[in-house]
Amino acid sequence: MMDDGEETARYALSTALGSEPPRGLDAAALIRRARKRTLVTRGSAVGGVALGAVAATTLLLGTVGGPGGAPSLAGAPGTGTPAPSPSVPVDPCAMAVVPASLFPTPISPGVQQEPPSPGAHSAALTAVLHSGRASFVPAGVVLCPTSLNSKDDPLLTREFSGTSDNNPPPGYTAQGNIPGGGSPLQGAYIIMISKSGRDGTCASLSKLGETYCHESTLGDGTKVATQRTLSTKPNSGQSTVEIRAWAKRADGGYVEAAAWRTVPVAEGEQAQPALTEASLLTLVTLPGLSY
Amino acid sequence: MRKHDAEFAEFVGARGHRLQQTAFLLCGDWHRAEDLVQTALIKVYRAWPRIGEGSPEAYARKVLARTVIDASRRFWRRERTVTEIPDIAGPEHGTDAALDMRRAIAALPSRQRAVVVLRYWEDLPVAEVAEVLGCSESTVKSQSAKGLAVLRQLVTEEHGMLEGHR
Repeated sequence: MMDDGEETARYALSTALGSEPPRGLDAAALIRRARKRTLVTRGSAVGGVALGAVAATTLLLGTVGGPGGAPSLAGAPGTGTPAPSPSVPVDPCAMAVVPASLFPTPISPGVQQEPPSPGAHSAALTAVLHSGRASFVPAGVVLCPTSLNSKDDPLLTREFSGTSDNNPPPGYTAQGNIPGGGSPLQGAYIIMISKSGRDGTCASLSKLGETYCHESTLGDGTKVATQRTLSTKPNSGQSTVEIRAWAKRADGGYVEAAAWRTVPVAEGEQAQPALTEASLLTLVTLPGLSY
Repeated sequence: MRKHDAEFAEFVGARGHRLQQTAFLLCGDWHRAEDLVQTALIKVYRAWPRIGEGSPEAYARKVLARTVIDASRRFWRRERTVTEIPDIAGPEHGTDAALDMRRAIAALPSRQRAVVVLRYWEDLPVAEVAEVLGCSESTVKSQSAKGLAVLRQLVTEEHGMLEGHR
């Protein structure tokens, strides 16, 4: 193919950018942030000195007061911060740590610090996902938001804009993590609702590591396909199992959903993501979930 | 708008996109790339009066490369092994090739990747890459050779697999 390493590198680098999403940089916003950061830095320096002085004073008073002296505010009823109780339930989402790089990039042109607020249709799709949640989230499975995309709501649906070339078509996406199993790489999911996409057949998605692909046509004409893939990166000791479902719906929309998790290689053959094939099938055919 | 604000805005407009591409190639994630470029550009803005007649782009590139390498060293951001980036919707064939190439590039250690990106994407001479990364020219040469060898092998393998799969 190529006999020159430099040529190979240039080919690889330019090809890797093939599905580059469009991004805008807002110079004015950057300038505002730079100025704010400067102020914060200066403020922190002043605040640090002040805090040090307060701490020293408090320490001094506490020492002087001693037993029988001024009562400690921390111990006064109704004041201060209560000591953490060992019975406080642990937030399972706090344990979900999935690298952001696992997620396909949701695309919001012109975004600088925060993705844009969801619009009316995003809100409607989010509501559809919430109302159908019990039908596609198995009992005991917790969906967790990601800091970048879903904030506090793991089913928050955001708009992304497709462009030409290799980018996904315009649509909406929700994505999050699924904790469980104690592994640092536990699982994640993504839901995409587009105005165009795969046609609900196995032929429309060929992936390395495919262990099966099923396709069918539902009574209303919706075409759906489900696929399981298992892939292992050499020398990593870990495999990723993924279940994906995609539908060309009778209402004309395209919905695709995938869930995956990383497991030790030895468990790969039997492993399943927390969202099962049936869950994902239910999800991609949810009434009202359309572009 | 102050004079240096106007100059900075012009610089962002002219070179921001390229910096984002470079950042993506360095870190392999568009979100992080965006964050990194913004961080780098904020530093560039704050250093603008000091940069003077120098090259803001070179400064931004240096900040970018060093930030990426530093971030990859921090234990909470250290690159973790993931087997595959699940692909995204869209039947276009080019997506597969792009994902394959991203995997190949991501397989390089961060410093090697930085050398390859700066040498063959930014087309910087060895001396400038050494300056950006704060290492010797001989290190750049050796890292470059190793990176190219690994990349060539991975690219060849990926192409072989793809050809066989289709």
